[in-house]
Amino acid sequence: MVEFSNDPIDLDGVPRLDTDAFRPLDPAHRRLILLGHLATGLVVALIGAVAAAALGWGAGLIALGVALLVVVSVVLALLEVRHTGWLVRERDLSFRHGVIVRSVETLPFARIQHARVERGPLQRALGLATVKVNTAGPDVRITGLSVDDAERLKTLVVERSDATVDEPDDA
Amino acid sequence: MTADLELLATPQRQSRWAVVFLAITALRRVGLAQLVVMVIFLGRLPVAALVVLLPFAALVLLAVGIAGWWRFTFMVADGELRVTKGILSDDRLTVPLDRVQSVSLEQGFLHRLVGLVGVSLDTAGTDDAEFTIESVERDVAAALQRVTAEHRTLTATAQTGDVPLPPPELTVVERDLNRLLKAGIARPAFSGLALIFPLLAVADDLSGVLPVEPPDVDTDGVSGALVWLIPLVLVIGLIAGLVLNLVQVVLTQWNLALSYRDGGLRRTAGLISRTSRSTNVDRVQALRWRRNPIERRLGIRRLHLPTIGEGDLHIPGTDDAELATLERLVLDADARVEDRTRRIASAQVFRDTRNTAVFAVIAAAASWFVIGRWGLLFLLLVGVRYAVTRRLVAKARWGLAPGGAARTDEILTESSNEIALRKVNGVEVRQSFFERSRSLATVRLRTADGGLTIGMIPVEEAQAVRDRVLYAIQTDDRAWI
Repeated sequence: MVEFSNDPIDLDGVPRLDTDAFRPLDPAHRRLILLGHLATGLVVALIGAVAAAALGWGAGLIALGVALLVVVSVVLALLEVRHTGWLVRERDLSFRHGVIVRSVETLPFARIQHARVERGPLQRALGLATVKVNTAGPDVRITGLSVDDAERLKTLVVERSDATVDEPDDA
Repeated sequence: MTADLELLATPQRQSRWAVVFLAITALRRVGLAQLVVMVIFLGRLPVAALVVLLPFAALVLLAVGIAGWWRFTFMVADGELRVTKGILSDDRLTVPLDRVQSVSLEQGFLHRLVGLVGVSLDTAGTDDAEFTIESVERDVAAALQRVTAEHRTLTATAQTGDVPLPPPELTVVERDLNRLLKAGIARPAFSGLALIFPLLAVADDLSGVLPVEPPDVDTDGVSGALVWLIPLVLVIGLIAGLVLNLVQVVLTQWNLALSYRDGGLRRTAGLISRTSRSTNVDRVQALRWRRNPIERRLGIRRLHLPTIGEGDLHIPGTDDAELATLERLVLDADARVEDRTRRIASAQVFRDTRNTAVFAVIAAAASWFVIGRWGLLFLLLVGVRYAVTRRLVAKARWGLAPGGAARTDEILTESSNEIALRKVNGVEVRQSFFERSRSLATVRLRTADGGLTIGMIPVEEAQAVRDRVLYAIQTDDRAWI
């Protein structure tokens, strides 16, 4: 095999991002995901039932397969919620997400250009919100924060950067 | 500067020739496919109908052109570019000059005939902020280019204070015919043939026109004629591709020059249509180059400076001295990575070969029913992928400097990517399932246009890179743009 070195990098007092200090999402977000998947599951079941009645059991089997996919995606989504977290330090915002591919994204406040809070109808019912943060390069969307956390996060981001606030029309 | 401002101080229309250009643009907007359908439809109409319809269509186009020209005015005042336009609507556009990323002057063939230029402005917005002025006199366009460039420099100096300024004026690149021919020869010969692919679409019609009869292909087996026909076609294709490459390079890159003036870069080139593109060094997000084995032999490379928004600069045929000058202009002194010695993990060879093997087995099995044992040829891909990735891993090098990061790759073509850390907008450390099982990770340094990705390195190293890059960004007071 090819020669490969792994010398330590001298960190010379550079602060480290502590990956254990991340804050989890609001527990209500889990309910939102379950509700969403329940709705999808019901629709699939309905279509499956109609198809089975009209076309025989072959179509019903396909519907069963789709239903299995829905179950898998519920499990993945719940796992994803468990792994998702966010962390605010003095000078940057980090966001950890993903189940199969895990990722930690960090945006320095000095590079953030916009921040906004978004709330869908279901989110409003459950007291949840999404924070969207834009830079000239990557963007970060943190879905599943409590309204309180979201507003505070937005305010903090705007205070610590020169970012402008985008107010959504339906706020 | 004041003369330029006076020239632009009052609202003015484009040159009257813009009517023609606007009419052509309107015609283009209809779409090529629609036009073809229309022509076919018109061809079936009786002549009398055409006599009425065609002048009417021409009149409509002319009216659109005149209205567009009449309603479009532009001026520069109080550091803003003000544009009014819209035939039925009333659009007023105000663009602060320091938001203008680049001003490009383009002189197409039609423009040349009437001695005018088209101007396209690219602004800091991300979506639809770019707009064009179809045709103006060259001095007005040049004034607009100078005013925006000087405005950018003024605001930039105001922001950065007393940073030591590079030389005020410098010709970085000047291409003579000799170097252009080198650049043309070094391009993959078959790539020139891409130009004539559209002809293949109408090959059936062409074969009726051409004096040559295409040879009948013997479907029962490989005929004697086919054996020498294939190499012959390949050789002819190669030569044709080479000639097309040379013609294209000479036409588009004729007199290619890159000049630097007060923080601005301007690239001009072209024989039939002369293009001028200007941007600010601050907008340049990375310094990249590629060179294939021929280019390495000739000591040249294809340089690419990605910038925010439109206006990327491509400079083929760049030699070592020019590269060094550009590195000095575009990258900060602390951003140059002297030691690119770090490597990536050889686990990538296993992962890529395994992935290709899975694909090849499935493809071979699936194609067995169609082409029989020829499907086994898919398995050759595994060996190719193994060799390619092995070389990639053996040759990939990356490194960090206090203010910069760089990566070099080489399979056959060699490529290099350098960025300044202060231009990084976000850092991501990610682990795929495979990487996680081996404690490896990928770190991505993302700038406003592209960035730098280093995959398959130990997770601690990736995290250390992230921490160091964040530290560099957060302790740097210089503006990132």
